[in-house]
Amino acid sequence: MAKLALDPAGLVRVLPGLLDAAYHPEPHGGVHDTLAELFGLSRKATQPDQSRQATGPDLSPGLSGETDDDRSALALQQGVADMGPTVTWSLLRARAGLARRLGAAVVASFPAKAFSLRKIARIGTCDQKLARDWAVTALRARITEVAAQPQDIFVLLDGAWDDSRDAAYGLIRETGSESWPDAAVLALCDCVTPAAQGFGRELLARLMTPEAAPAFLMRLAEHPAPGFRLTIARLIRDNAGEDPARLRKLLPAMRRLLQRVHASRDAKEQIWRFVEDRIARGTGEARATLAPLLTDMAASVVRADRDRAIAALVLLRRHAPPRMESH
Amino acid sequence: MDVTRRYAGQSQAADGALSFTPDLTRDPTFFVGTLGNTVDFREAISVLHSVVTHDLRPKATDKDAYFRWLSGQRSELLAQAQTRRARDADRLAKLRGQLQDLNRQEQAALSDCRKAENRYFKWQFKEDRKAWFVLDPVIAVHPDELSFECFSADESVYGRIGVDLEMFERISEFQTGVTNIDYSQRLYDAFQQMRSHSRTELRVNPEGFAAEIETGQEIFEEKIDLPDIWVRGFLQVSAAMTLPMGRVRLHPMDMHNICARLRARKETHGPRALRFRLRPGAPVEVVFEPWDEVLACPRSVCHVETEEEIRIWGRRRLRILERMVPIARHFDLHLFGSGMPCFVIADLGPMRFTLGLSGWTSNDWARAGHFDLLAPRRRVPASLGRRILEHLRCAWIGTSAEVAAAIGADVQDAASALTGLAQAGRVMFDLDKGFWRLRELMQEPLSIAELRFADDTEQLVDQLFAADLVELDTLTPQQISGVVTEDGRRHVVSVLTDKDERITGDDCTCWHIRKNALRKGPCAHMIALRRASEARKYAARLTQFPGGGA
Repeated sequence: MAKLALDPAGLVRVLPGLLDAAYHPEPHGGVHDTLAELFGLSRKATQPDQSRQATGPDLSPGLSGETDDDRSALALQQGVADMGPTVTWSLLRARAGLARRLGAAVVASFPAKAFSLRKIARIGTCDQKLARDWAVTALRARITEVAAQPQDIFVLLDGAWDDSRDAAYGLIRETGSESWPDAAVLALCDCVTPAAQGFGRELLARLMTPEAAPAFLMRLAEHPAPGFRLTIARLIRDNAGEDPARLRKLLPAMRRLLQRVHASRDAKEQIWRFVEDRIARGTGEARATLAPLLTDMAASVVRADRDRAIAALVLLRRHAPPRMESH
Repeated sequence: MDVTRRYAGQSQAADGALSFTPDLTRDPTFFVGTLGNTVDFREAISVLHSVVTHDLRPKATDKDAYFRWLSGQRSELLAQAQTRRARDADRLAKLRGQLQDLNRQEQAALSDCRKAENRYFKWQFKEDRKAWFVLDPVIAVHPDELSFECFSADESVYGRIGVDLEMFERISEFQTGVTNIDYSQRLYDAFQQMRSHSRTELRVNPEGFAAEIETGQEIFEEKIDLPDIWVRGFLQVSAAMTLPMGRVRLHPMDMHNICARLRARKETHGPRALRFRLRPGAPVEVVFEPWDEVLACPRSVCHVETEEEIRIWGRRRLRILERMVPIARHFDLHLFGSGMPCFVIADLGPMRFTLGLSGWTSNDWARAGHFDLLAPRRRVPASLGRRILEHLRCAWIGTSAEVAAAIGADVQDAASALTGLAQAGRVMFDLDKGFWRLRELMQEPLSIAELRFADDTEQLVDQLFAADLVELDTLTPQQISGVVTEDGRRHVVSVLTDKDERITGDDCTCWHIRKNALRKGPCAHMIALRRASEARKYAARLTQFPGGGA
């Protein structure tokens, strides 16, 4: 097999079969080990030259190219690289561990421009350290694009690997978040890890202008994370305003907060204050919009909620226009 | 039971598309559509995720930290015991100080390692899907809806979302069928990023079914050793859907209140059931044991024919529905009897979420002998089942009457055959719409004969019961007694139950009980006796069939 790999015509014949085997779970113990040996993935790798990785070809730095085995492994890796970035991307996203290892060894031969920023960020979440390192170097090489479109790399912030995640935070620090567009701040808030969400909340506090607040509120109102409940509740209290159409859109968010079971006491408090304020000082239309929510909450067994809902309903009744007596 | 799944790649979420990878070993099934009400779908599918990951089985506590502390203490105690003389006290104090320093240093040196180890175990728990997903969710594309079905790892909770096709703004690919989808925590994370302002496309990928598979395309096979007990649990809950049940319509705030009560207090002793007091046309009352707190649900309505009280156990499982309270229009609670599976259907407009709860959270021997949901209820020829399946392979859905008319059979016979098919996991009864649906749980038909009994004792029980060898004498809430005849020998049997209806005491003249008492569980005679009492309780009701139109 190694000799065939050294022959260009033979390489074309054997490579598809080898790749196929790498994608599949091994039929018998040891098949993947043999394949890993053949692809040169089992040999001890030296520290790759970070500066070269993202810009030029550098296949498996552990391979010296001195022995036939090394040369055939390099030829096989080069063969995979020649199949293009799509195959490498598919290798890196594969379920089979060997495919991911091969993808990580081959990805180093691609320039940073070979993949989109989003794909590079996804490569940075791969379980292969080599691939993660390459992704971080590639992002560093395209730092101006990262600064312009930071949301493209946010998937890294949700990644499970500390090294690439910390590197992503480092990149964000370098590029500076002060000039981020609103879309980037909102995209950051939409991340799923608590740390990224916390960073998002911090940026909201720093960067959100009073003029932009209503727009932020409408985008964030559907956020399901517990860490955002208080933020949403505060945004509702301060920015939901009087517009009945907006209130109607925000009603599901208010319902989601108020109907949490024994949770989010502070967020509920903010919503209750808003509701009470709107009923005391709002328009008739705003009151009518809020009435169904209060009717439901009045049936709660949680005394704190029920009492406030009933008090709000009493207030609502006082503000209701007098009924015409029918004779 | 060994099950093989074959997937082309992994399910993933990218660029506004949720792409589910279907199982290639099953008939081609695909669907591509743009979701209309994204946020409600997100909430519903998140609840389904709670079902998939639900596991209330007791877990072993991690005692590593305690043993580390204990090993430290042991040397300390040993040192104390060995030190007899007062003159050694100073030296001992000095040594203790040194030891403490060393321990502190050790802790400091190893703390990162231990934290990393802890993080690794947490990560492994999160990532090792095989540890907590027993079977990938089943997805069915039917002419009227797309549905996702799953069963929890602890064999106690069933979940199903039915999404009407009207909910999709645009459908570009559609092929009716049933398949399993590759599912992972990453998909759940992607669901959490769904918002109404961004377009979300739901894809059950058609690409994997292409006639020729490209070179280099990943086809990944995984073999799952599916526990028989898990499959039985799934089939039992599916079969329970075919029972004629009483229905209670609860307002979302009623469900909120039930969850609030369950969260507020935790019982320290039995009984632990939730009692539903049902009166025809009257509001339902829910009683929380053991405090007997009554929760009135004034906005609810009971659709039952007679006044009764039904107890359900494993009530904490209802908290899975908490997230659904703000988006549900109402909850329909379907109850058959105490200790029997029950179902809650949340009406979400164009979607419905069905939560099925098995009789108890755990299926241990104390509950043995309960109603056999997989027992044939009426004998019908096997050919009738085959004809029904042939019909449903074209029509996919239908009521008993429609199916019977289509194949030219008697409605009662068709309903019995459909019930048998549901017990075998080949069709399912849609409680909400009142349809039977073709839904093959596995590509190859399951052998109900092999799955029906967990062990030889259960099989013997069934034989005794079927041969009418069980005679009931006394039947009270706390005691059942009677005579069971096996191999011509009459055994006088008595079973005592506690307030949670668990077997707590026994008496039987057989060898098993004389030798082991209850240490190895109840004998076949006791289980048969209990089964007879259950059968008597439900005999009258089982003459009806759902959707039978009889």
